[in-house]
Amino acid sequence: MLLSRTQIINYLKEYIAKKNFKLLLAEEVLLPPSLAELIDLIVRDGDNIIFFSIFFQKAFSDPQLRKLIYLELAKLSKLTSYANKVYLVLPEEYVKPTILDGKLFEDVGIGLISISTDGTVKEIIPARPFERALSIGISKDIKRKISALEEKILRVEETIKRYREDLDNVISSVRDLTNQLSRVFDEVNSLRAAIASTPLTARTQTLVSETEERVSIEVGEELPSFVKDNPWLLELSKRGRGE
Amino acid sequence: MISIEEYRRKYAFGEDYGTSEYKFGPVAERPDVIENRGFIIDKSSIVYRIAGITKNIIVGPEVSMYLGSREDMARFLVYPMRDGVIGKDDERAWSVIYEITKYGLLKFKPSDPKFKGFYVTAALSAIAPKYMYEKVFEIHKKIDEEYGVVKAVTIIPQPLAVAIAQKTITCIVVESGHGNTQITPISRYPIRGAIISLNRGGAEANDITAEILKDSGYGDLVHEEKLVRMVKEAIGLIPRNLNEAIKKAREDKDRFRAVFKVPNTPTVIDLGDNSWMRFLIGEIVFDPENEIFESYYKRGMPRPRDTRLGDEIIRGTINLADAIIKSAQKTPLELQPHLYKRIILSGGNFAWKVPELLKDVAVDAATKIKALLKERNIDAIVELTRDPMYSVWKGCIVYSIAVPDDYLWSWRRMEGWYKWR
Repeated sequence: MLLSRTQIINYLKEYIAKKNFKLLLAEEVLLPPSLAELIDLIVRDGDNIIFFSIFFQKAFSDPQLRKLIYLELAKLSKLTSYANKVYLVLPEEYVKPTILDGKLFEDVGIGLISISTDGTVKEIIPARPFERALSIGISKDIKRKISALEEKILRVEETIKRYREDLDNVISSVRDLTNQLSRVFDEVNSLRAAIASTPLTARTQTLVSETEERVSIEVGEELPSFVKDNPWLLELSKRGRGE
Repeated sequence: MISIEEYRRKYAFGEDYGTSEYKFGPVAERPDVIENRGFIIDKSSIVYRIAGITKNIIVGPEVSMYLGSREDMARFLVYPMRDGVIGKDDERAWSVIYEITKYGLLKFKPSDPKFKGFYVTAALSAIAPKYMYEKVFEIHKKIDEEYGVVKAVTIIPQPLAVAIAQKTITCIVVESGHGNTQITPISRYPIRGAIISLNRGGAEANDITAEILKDSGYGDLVHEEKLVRMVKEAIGLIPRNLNEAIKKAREDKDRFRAVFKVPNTPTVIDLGDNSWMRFLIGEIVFDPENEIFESYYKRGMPRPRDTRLGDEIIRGTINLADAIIKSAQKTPLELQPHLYKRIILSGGNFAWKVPELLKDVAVDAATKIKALLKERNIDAIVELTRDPMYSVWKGCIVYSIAVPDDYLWSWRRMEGWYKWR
């Protein structure tokens, strides 16, 4: 008695459950729609993605079956870029030397699983592990997203460039301010000298010197403009004072 | 705090021994000015014998009354500071300096019984040799012994006085008088090892003016130096760019025409088609090396003598901007940018007019120097002294007021008060 397709799927799911594989939806895997039709179950085993494809066709003769299985294998070989392992699942009665050529499975790397009428699942030929080529599966949506990201990066770069220009302007302004500050310091020094000399003209002072009598400077007795606020007054008054 | 005692404020005295003028006086906004010259009396002359003149040398405004023929002027009129330096044994020149100094001090001698003598600060050329300092001290001491008018005396280089008058502690002072041009970097003290003194000044501009007058048919007037100077001051212009100025002046002769009427005489000098030459008068101050002057040198116009900076010979005709750079390069690298921030031009040789109608081609001395330095990739701030005629004297006054009384003269420092009582 031949198993129905539904029975094979159910037995296969039990096998998957025992193996602690995680069932995935077709949408969760990057796969072209034309190839998605070849796959009946998709599972994740750790980082590996495994495809199972059930062969369920009735044939009149073994050679006819053999030919159909070879065609199926040829189609499944296209899936090796999208999964880490690919298995062809057959009813147990198909597993016989007149129908199958084990070497062909090994050559294309597709594994073989048989399911008996009592639900026993056997891994007849282990699948060869493949490297998934994700780039091939990049959908238009991803491309669109990448393009959008590129645009965003471009905008970020332009913004950074603008900020750099702004920063250059700020640095230039700071330099100008430093120069201005330097001039202000000069002014302050002049003012200090002026402040130091102001009391002499602004109010009466009597100072006594060791060498001579120092007379007060009366209010209103102005010094000439070139003497007032002159930083040299302070500078020259330090002569001989060890400063 | 700075204390300025009343005595010093009242009796500080400044003396600027300029090449053509002597500026002197106590604290005031302006000094008194007389020409730095003296007329040596010819004792064999009739005037001397009849008029009973007792003086040997006449100085001050009286001099003009003694001037006779041109030959007499050449023989008896002495300008002692013509090149900023007086020969050690030039007795006539030192006698004139003595008379001029005495004239100045006695003119301001107060009747105040508290007066014990002036605090005199005298300014000499930055290249004045040590013996000149000794002579000037000696003269003041002698005058004080005779008249009691000098309490203490000190001598400072003229460029330092300019920096003081300009209230600038770090700068380069370019002082250009009649006979020489001194470039002095200053940072609190004059940096003596970096001073460059060029053997040229207003005299070169006078010489080229005389040549231009000769070329224009006024050769008979060039023997009167004062007249030549007046012509120079009246028509001389500094070109922003000599070639462009000459081109424009030749294309637009009316606008650039140089005419000068000698005051109080019927004489009118008109350069006519040679009016473009008025730009040579200003240019020679800044770039006597320009090839346009070669023909004048070949015809006998004196070429400025070379000078020395340490072991280096500096050409007398060096472009003034190059000379400033050479001087600055003798100072520490760190100081140089600060020096270029304030370049102060001082002295009568930088006082040039810029007629309103010729502002497109004629500039003042500061603009010219700034442009010449810019051509050599140096951004400098150049300014003329606010009061070019009196800035040296003003610096002397500030010095007299501020330097402590007990800071005595040191030949090592070349600073301090020289006293004898």
